[in-house]
Amino acid sequence: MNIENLKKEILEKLEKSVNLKDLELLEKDYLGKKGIIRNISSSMKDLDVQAKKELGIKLNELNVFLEEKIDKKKKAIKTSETKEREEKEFLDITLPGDKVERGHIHPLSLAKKELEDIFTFLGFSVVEGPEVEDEWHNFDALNFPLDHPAREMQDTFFIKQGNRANLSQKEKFILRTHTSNVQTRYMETHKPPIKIAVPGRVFRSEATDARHEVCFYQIEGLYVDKNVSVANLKGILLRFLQEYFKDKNVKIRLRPSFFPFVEPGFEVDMSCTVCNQKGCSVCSGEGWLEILGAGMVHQNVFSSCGLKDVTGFAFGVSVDRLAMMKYKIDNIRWFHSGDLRFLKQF
Amino acid sequence: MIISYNWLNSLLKGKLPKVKELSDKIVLHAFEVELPVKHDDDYALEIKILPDRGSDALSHFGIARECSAIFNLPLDDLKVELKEDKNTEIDKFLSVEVKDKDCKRYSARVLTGIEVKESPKWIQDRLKVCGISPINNVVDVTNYVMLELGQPLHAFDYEKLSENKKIIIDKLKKSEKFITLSEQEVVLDKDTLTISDEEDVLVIAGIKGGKKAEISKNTKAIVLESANFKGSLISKTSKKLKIRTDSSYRFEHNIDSNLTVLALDRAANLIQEIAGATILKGVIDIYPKKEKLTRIFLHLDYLKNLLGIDVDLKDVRKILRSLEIEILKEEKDKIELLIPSFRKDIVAQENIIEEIGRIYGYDKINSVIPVSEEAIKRNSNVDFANNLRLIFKEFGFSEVYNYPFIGKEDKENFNFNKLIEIENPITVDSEYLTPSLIPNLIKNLKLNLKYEKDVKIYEIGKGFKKNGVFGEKRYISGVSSKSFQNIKGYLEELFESFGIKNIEFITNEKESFFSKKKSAIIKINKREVGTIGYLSSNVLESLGLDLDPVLFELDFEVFESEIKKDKKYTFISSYPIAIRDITVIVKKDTFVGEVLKSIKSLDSKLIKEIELVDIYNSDLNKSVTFRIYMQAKDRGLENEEINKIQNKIISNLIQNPEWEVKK
Repeated sequence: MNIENLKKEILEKLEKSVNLKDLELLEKDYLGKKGIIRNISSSMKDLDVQAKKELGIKLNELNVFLEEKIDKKKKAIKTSETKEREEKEFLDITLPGDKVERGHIHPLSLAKKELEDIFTFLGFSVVEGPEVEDEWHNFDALNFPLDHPAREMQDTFFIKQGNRANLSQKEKFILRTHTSNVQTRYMETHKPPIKIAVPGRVFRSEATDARHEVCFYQIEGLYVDKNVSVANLKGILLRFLQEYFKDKNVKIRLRPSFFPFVEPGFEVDMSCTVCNQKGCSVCSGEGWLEILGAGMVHQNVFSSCGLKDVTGFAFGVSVDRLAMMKYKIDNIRWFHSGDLRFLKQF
Repeated sequence: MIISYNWLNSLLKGKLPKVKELSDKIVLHAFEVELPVKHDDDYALEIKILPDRGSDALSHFGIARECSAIFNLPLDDLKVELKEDKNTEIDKFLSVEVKDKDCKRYSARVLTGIEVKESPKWIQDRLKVCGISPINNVVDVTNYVMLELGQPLHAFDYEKLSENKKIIIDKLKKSEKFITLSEQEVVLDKDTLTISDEEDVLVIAGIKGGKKAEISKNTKAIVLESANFKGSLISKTSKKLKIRTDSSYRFEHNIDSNLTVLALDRAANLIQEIAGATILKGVIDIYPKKEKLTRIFLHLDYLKNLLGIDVDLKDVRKILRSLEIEILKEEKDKIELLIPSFRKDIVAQENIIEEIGRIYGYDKINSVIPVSEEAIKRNSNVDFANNLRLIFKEFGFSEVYNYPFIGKEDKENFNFNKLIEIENPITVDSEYLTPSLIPNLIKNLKLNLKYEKDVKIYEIGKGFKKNGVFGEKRYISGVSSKSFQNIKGYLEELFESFGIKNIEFITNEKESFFSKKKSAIIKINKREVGTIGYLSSNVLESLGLDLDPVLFELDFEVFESEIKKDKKYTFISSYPIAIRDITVIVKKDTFVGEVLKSIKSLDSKLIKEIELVDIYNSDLNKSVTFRIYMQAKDRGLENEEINKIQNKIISNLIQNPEWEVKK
C-alpha cells in the first residue's frame, strides 16, 4: 500500500472526527496493536533489506506524525467541550456574602496609633505619664501662677484630700488637665536632647457639648536641645499635619498666643483641607482651621526641671479633634458612648 | 473687648486698611478678632486680648499702639488742654488719705459748675458701638476715657460726701453691707479694699461704686477719681462678690500706674468741654512707691537661634521703636532695652523675641525639620496595647472607651473600697475614680444588647485606688453576653498568641464582685494575671441585670511582663500520627481539668496533643472522652509502644477510685 495514500486517508478521517470517541477509534484502527500500520510493518518481512529499511523509516515517521496530529486534535476537542460546559455553569454572584464577625478598634485608638507612628518616624519617642497628678507637675513647674484661672474648680478636677490646705504643691492631687505634666516629669529625669511624643487622657471640669468633653485625649510633642527654633517647630508641625491628613498641600500658620509654659506662644492654624482655602462652612469661610497650641518652652519651665542652656518647643493637640476631622464625626461625645452602632463603623 | 473702627483710626496719623484687612492682620500679628459687626458708618471689632496683655491692650489706645507697629502708622498725640481755675486750689476742697499699700496710686480732681445732661452724639455713638449704654455726660466720659485709655475712672457727687470732704482708701475693719450703683445689696467682708468718706463706703475699690455719692441730674460738683490697685486683690474680691465689671476686669490685669493722671486730665478736659465745668487748680496724686522700669538685655544670637531666622538689625530697631521699647545701649552681640511701664508682660528676653517675631511676621520663618542624634526609644506598653487591639479585633471584640468615673451606687453595688474621690465631680454618678473597668463595661453591654444579639466588648484602661498613695493601674477588661467557655477560649488563644503556654484557671477563693463558684483566677507562668467569670449573685441582683454576663479583667503589667520575646518554632514530624480515645466516667461535679491533669502527668515525648472530644452527662456521672494524638519525631510508632502509653494513662487514671475508664 502506498504510504502517502494511507496518510491522506488517515488525515481525511481525522478531519472528520468531531469527538473523543472518533479519535479513539481512529487511533485503534491505525495506530493500535492490531492497527493498519502494525499490519503493514509485520508484512515487511518479505521485502529485501534496503526496502525494509526505507519502509520502516517511513512508517515510523507516519506514526509519530499521526500521534502528534491526534493529540493536538484531542486537546482542541477537550478545550471546546470544557468551554461548552462552562457556558452552562451558573453562580449567583449577587447573593450577599456570609456575615463575618469582625472586631473593631476604637477610632481614638486608630487616630492615636497613627499619630504615634508619625511622630516615631519624625524621631520622637513615645512616652506616657500619670493621670492622677500633683499640682506641681501639672501647674507650678509649668509656670502657672498660683492664681491662674486654669487652677480653678470650673476647670480642674480636684482629688478629695482632707488636709489639702496644709499640703505642699507636690502633695496636692488633681486629674491632669493636659499631657504637659509629662514634660516636667520627663525633663526632671532625662538629659537633653529630649524628643518625646506624649499621648494620653486629660480631664477638664466643664460642661460637655458637641465639642467639649470632661475627658479627652491629647498628644503632646516636646523637643529640647541646644538650638531648637521656631523654624524647627514649624517644620515638625507641617510634616505631622501633612502626614496625618495625607495631603502634601496642607499649610500652617502661626499666630501669637499665650500659654504660661511657653514663650513665644502660638496658636497654630492649618489650611482647610475641605475647601482648599476657597472658603467653606467648616472653616467659616476663613480658609484656616485652628488646630493646636504650641510654643517655645519657657525658661522658667526649664529651671523648674533643672535644665539650663537649652531651648525647646512644645505643642499639644487634641486627638479627639483630629479623629473628628479625619472621620467627619460631628459630636465628641460619641467617643465615650460605648455604642456599638458608632464603634462598628471603624 | 470691643473696638470701634473709626475711634481706633482717629488715634492714628494716617489711614488704617479696610476693616477686613485690618482684622486679618491683627489676627496674624497680635490677637484673635471676631467677625466685624457694622454699626452705621462704623464697625465693632471684638478683639480677644491675650491674658498676658491686659496691662496694655485693653483700650482703643492700646490697640492703636499695636496697629502703629503692625501697619507702620504713627500714633496721633492725645490733646489734653486743661483750663484750670487758678483761684481755687483743690487742697482747700478735698483731702485724700491712702492707708493701704494695695492702692498703688490715687489721683483725683474736683470739677464744679457742672450741668448734668445727655452726652453729645459722637460720645454716645462710640459708647454704643462698644456695647455701653449712655447714661449722662459725666458717667459717659468716665466710660469713654476707660475705653480710650484703659484706665477705669469713677465720679462722685462732691456735695454728697460727708462734712470734711475727706476720702480714705483702706481695708474694712469689719464686714459691712453695701448697696451698689445698680441697687444690689452685697456684704463686704472684713479686709475688702474700699474708698470711703469719713462715714460711709463709697466704692468697692476697683470694682463698683455705691449709691451714696451717685451722680444725679442735680449734681453740680464732682470728684473724679483715677486710681490703681493691686490686680490679684481686685480679682479675689471680684470673684468673691461675683461682681465683674469693665473696671475690675482691667485692674485684674495690673494696668499701668502711669495712666492715672493722663486719664484724669483727659476726662476733666472732656467734661469741661461738654458740660461746661470749672476745673479746680491742681491734682491730688498719691503715689507712694513709684514703679521701676524693667531693663532687659537682648542677645542677638539668641534671637536668631530661637526664631530660626536672621532678622535684620534695622528691622529689630524699627519694631522695638514702634512698640515704644527704648534701646538704651547697643553692643556688638547684645542690646540693652528699657521696657515701658504699660508692658507688664515683658520681663525676660524671650518676651522681646516674641514681640520681634510676631511683628516681623511668623510667616517669614521657613520650616526646618530638625536633625537630632537622639535615638528613638520604643515604648513597650504602647506597643503591647496596640498589639492587643489587633488580636481582639481578630477575635471579633470591639473596643470601647469609658469615663474613669463611677458613682456612689456602683461603689456600693460592687462593694469597692479605698476609692479616690473627686472634690468637684461634674455629676453625682461620677464622684469616684473607678478601681475597675467592669462597672462601666456592664453599662455598655446593657446599652448595646438593645441593638445587638451578641456583644463582645473590651477596654484597655486604668483603674484607680488609694493605697497610701493615689495609685493607677492598667487593666485589660471585657464583658460578653456569650458563655464562660467561649470567652475562656478567647483568653487562652490571646495568651497563646503572645507565646504564653503555661496558663492555669484556678478556683477563685477571693471576695470580690466575681462569683465565687462561677469564676476563676487566671495564672500565667504561676503568676496571677486576672480573673474571668460571672458576677456574684449579690452584685447581679443589686445591678438589676436580666442577663448574666461573662467578664474578665487582666493586669496589663503582669501580662506584659510574662510575654516571651519571640515565639519558638517546634519541629514538625512527617511520621504518621496515632490516635487513641480514652473515655473516663467521673462524678458530675468533678473538674474535667483534674482528669486532664492526670492524663498530662504522664510526661511522654510521644504525646503530641490531648483533645477533649466529648462530654456526656448522665444522672450522677459524666463520661468524658479525650483523644490522644501520638507521634515520634524520627520514626513511625509501633502498635506496642502506642498501647503502652495508653495503658499507662489508664493506670494513672484509675488510681483515683472514683474514676472509671470505659473499656
